[in-house]
Amino acid sequence: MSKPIPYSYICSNVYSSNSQKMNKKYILLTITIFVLVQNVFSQTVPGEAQSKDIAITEATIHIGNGTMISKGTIIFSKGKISYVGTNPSINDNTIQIQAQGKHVYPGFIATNSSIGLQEIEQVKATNDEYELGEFNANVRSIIAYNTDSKVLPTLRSNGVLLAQVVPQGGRISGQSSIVQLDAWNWEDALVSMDQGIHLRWPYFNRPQSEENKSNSYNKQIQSIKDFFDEALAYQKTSHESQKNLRYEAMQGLWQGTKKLFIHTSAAKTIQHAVNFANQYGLKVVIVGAEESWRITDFLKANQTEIVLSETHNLPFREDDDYDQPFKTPRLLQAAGIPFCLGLNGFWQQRNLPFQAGQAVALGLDYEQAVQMISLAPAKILGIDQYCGSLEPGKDANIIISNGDALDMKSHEIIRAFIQGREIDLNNVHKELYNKFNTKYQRINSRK
Amino acid sequence: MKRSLASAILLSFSVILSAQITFPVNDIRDPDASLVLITNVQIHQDAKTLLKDAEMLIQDGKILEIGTKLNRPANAVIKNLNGAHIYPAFIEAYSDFGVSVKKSGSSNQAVSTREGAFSWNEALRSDIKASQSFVYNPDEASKLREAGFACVHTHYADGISRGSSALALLNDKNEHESLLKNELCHMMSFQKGNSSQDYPGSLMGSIALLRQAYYDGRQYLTTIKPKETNLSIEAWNQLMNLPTIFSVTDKLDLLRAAAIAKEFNTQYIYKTAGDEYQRIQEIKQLNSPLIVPMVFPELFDVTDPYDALQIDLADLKHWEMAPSNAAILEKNGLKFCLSASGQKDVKSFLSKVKKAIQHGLSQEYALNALTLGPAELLKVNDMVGTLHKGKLANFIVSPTELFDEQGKINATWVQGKEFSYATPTLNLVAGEYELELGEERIKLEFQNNTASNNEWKIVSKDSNTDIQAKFQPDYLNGKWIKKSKEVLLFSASKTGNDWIGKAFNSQGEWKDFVIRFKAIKQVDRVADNSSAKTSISTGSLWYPNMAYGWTEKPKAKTYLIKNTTVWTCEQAGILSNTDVLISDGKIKSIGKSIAAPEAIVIDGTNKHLTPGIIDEHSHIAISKGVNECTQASTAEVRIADVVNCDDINIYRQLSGGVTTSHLLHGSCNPIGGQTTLIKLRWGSSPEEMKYKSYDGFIKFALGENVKRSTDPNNIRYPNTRMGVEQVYLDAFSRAKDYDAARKQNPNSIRRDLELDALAEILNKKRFITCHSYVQSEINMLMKVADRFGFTVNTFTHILEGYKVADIMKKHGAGASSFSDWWAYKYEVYEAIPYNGAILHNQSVVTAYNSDDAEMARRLNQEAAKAITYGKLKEEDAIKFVTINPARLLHIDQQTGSIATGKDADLVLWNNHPLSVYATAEATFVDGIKYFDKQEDLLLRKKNAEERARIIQKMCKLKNDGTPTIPYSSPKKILYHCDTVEEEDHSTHSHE
Repeated sequence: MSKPIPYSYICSNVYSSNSQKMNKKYILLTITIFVLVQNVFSQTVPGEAQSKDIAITEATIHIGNGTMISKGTIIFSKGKISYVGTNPSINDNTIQIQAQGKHVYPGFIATNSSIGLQEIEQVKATNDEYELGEFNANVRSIIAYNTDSKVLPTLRSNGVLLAQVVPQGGRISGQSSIVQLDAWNWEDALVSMDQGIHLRWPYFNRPQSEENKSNSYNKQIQSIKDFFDEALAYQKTSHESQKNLRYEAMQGLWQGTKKLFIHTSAAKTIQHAVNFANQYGLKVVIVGAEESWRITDFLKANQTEIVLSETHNLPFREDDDYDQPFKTPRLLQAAGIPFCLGLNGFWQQRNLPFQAGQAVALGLDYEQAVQMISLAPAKILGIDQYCGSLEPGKDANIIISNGDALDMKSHEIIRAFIQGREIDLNNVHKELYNKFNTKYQRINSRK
Repeated sequence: MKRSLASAILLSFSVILSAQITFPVNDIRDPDASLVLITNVQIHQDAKTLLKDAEMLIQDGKILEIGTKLNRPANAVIKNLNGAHIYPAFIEAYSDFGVSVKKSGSSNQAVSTREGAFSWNEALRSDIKASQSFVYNPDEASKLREAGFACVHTHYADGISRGSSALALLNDKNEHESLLKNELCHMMSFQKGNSSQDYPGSLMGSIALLRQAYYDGRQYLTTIKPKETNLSIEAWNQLMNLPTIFSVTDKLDLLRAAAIAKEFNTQYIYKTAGDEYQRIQEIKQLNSPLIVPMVFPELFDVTDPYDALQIDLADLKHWEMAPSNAAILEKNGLKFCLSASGQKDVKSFLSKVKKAIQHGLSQEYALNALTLGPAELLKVNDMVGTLHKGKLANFIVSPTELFDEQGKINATWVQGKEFSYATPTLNLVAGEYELELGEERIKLEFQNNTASNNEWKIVSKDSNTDIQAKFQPDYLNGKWIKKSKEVLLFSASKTGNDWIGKAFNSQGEWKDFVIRFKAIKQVDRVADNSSAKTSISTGSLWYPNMAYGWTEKPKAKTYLIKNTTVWTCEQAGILSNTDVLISDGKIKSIGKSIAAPEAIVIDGTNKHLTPGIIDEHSHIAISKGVNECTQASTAEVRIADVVNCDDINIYRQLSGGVTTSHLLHGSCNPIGGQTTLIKLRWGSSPEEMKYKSYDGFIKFALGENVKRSTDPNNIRYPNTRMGVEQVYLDAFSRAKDYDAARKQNPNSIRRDLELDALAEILNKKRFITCHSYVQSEINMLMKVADRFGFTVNTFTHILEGYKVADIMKKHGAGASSFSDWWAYKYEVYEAIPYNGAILHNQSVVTAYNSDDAEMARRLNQEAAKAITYGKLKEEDAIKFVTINPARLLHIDQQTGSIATGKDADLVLWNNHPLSVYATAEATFVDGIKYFDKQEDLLLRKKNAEERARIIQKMCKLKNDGTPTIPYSSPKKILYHCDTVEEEDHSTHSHE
């Protein structure tokens, strides 16, 4: 039920203030979107399918693959990128977005997130990321993914357009899927379904207590092995009846349609995890991997992919360099390890571009930093055929920032497109901002 | 009948009647009046005096005579000790021998479960007397005696005040005869122990409870007794006449206890944790005696380099240096005793003392610290501690000098009674032998390779046969395993140098069996007697003694930072191409082309200089609990009491430009504890880190945390925001009455530390920083403050401040917020990243804080988010983490901006300070460069070398056969507002 909206004009206020900086040609487009928005407070309506070709011109284009084009043009049509370069031919029907001095990026991809599964951390009813049980290979995050989460628009407005939605808990937490963040329901949000199985590797040498003595590291490894062995044996025959849902869910791993993501941090446990995956002939992605920089030779030899946790993290060990997490991306890049940056959590994902920027402060090449939150995760997630970079043939997942989007002092996303659809960059925070700005305008005008 | 018989027997002897006892015995009596003469001994009367070839006459458990040529009474039993050395027996100054701690029933009690008119708090057990629950424990006694102890100072080892102690003799008699003296000392600690009560739930709570106990003791008759009888306080006041032994779990706790002693004008004896060397200068100044345990970390297994990674350099260094602790104490002139307290196996105690000696402790000091030292400390040196006429015959016997490698305790004499552990000497001849059985001949060798000279084996020279033998004096038995696997059992007795006996073979036959002596063979044993005396070297002490610690503390110097961009955070704004001169810890001048020939020049070209970052809301550098969660108001607890100078996050935050941190109590209760303000003077003691004078603050909290929202079974008031208001109204009403009464007559009403703090708020001497989220309750607290006539100084977090910025402005409250956190709980569901900008635009003094050890390292970036969200001017954004928090903390006259005369708290950045690409090049606190990017590289190198050196040493020891343990890392907690747990100190909980 939609209520009469006393603040509806506020939305257009924000946008008109933004729009003033844009070329007037495009105000029309913006307004058409807000006509839809006006009736529903703090709701963003999914964008309409791209009907006209759009060209973003004279922009600094960060391709996402480690390269950059200055004063470049990107043209997209029917949701797909058709041209990226400096010598475009633009026909009259194409909507032009003058982006001189602005930065264009592929939509950022949040890897290892709980977006859409969590709304308010401490309110249990709003959390759907932890299932009970130990080996939950069958559990699927996608069906709990909430497209109407108030959090999503706050991420999009910072350039995060796609996300891997990962369940938590247990030894095997379940299956992740990839979504785009502008959808009516989880079905149209889907980019890649049930693409990963997430295994939480045991901690090694936790402080001794009676509890973990009886449940030692090696015993826990053995129980994982037992589960994998049983699942492997299970799939060798067909099961018309007496289906085992857990083992069924594992089949994609053996067939190569699902990837194994093992979450672990320490140099020693990463090696154990990779060796474990090798025993089953599985390619593995290590998630977290705080100490991956210590074992780059090993990782390279195994071609292990890494989803590296936050750069805004404390050093893993007391004695580590104070800036170790800031510089780990540079070390992995230099060693030729395939890796991307992946933050934990949901609302936190809006800082993804800044956490990538942090690595630049410690010497990572800027375009590599962009890559680590665009093409690199797309590759690791297996969606690089159609996502992750601004290259012809790929989905038009594009953001335009007034300034350098990896630096908070200049970050300002002004336009964004998912699969060519222009998306609403409004969010509940902007609305509250405007609501209370109105309050103070009224108070101050009375004075 | 029995009684009269007993007295008849007693009367018939003309002996010393002091041995008379009050209780009946179920036997005939053995009056202990016999004379014992010890002859042929080297008597170490005390650590300084040696009587060679001396004798000692003992009667009735006491030394009757001692000297070189004594008269020998005909009725004396003579004990010839063959030249052995005797020493006064050791005295254990800290023990719980025979005093078992009662298990507590339930837990989470708000009130005491004790019966009787005792303290409201179970951890105050001042009425307990160790002697009253003393039960002699023969098994423990036997272990302690074997380690050289004849008497122990014991107590009820549980709680904060533990009542009075007692001295027990390890004489294997009943309690009456074992107890030598009662009520020697008042025993204390910071651990509430078995108390089933919630309070205190943190170290700072323990400290507050103890301070209140002192005040209550002093004012008992005037303000308490008229209203209540309190047996605990009465007992406490009795204890005030005794010396106090305070047991601490680390060197910082020692300094904390010392602060209490100072406040109440007393002196403690400290039972320490063995890490005093790390704060030797501060501890030396206390001039207090110590009881030092000989507990050293065991050797960690470091053979897997990745396992070794888990051990922090702090633990590696302590492993290496702990055995040097006593030596360092001696070198610094401290007075201390050694204690076996905390030994896993008390039998290894002497070896630990020898280890301390190898690490530089003098033998003389060691002996004194085990004998006369504790005797004097406990004021029982008239009875024990040295070997002089009239004292108890408590001594130990060693075959050689005690602290030599061969030195060991062969016997402990307690009250003239011998308890011997020496295995009989075998008296064998090493050399070649031949086994004869029928026609068979096998060449053998008797070997003794051990230092103790008492462990022998037989080695067969024929590789096809194996002989295994066990020796007793003049007797042996064993197995002879032939090549055919036939096993013969044999035994033989010594006859001359040969051994003659029988062997029992597999056919069941008994055969004649002889091992015939052939020739002497001297075993070349490497004489290693010197090893106990050679001293072992260790690495140097760092400040703090962990990674990134200083070998030499940095000092204030004169620096000239040239040609840089200066973000003054003053009217002057941002100055380009400007020089800043700092000396004597202050900013001396700011301008173009400053000349200062004496200064160290730092080129600031293309760099930026900002004031040091000030974190208004931090929980780093706090020991053992950030929340005293147990009551709705705990205004009496103080973070200042529990500052932890060894937190690595101090150094890490310096690397992010932080110079001042406001350390807050958590947000567990509406009225939390008092805060403290530190500068990040890495390497300094807690006292040195604190601001010398600053306005006191106190943490308040609103909302979900204080109503215990995450606990579905909460029983603590308040349970709603409605209740929170009532807690405040109640607290301030009480405080108002209290303040008025005390102002009229300070002695008319009980001094109460909680109400003191609240009254300070009413008197505008203490200021509130209040954890807050939603607008309703923020508004409420301002109304409460208005009603009681004070101002809420700061709302911290204040994520809905943007909704009530006008009301805050009018009230005069400041805001200290997060840049962009939200959605972590229901009350932050309307938290917006534009909050700071709105508050600022409505002229509320606004700061961004961290509440997080990680975020604090990049508060400059958080400030920049006020540009991202809300488009603040850069000049204003930087103020969110510099001068604005300084204003909120009332230190803006001293720090927070770059102005002549202010503290030289500065950060030099390599880039625009609001950019994600900026990193700190150098951070100055009071003109001292505590962080420098280049010097940090050297510290890293130094860390790596120190690690490698110690790990090499550990590997070598492991190869040499020293047993190892796997390392298990202690739990380290990063505190946030709602952390209730303490650090894991289970390793100490056995005490």
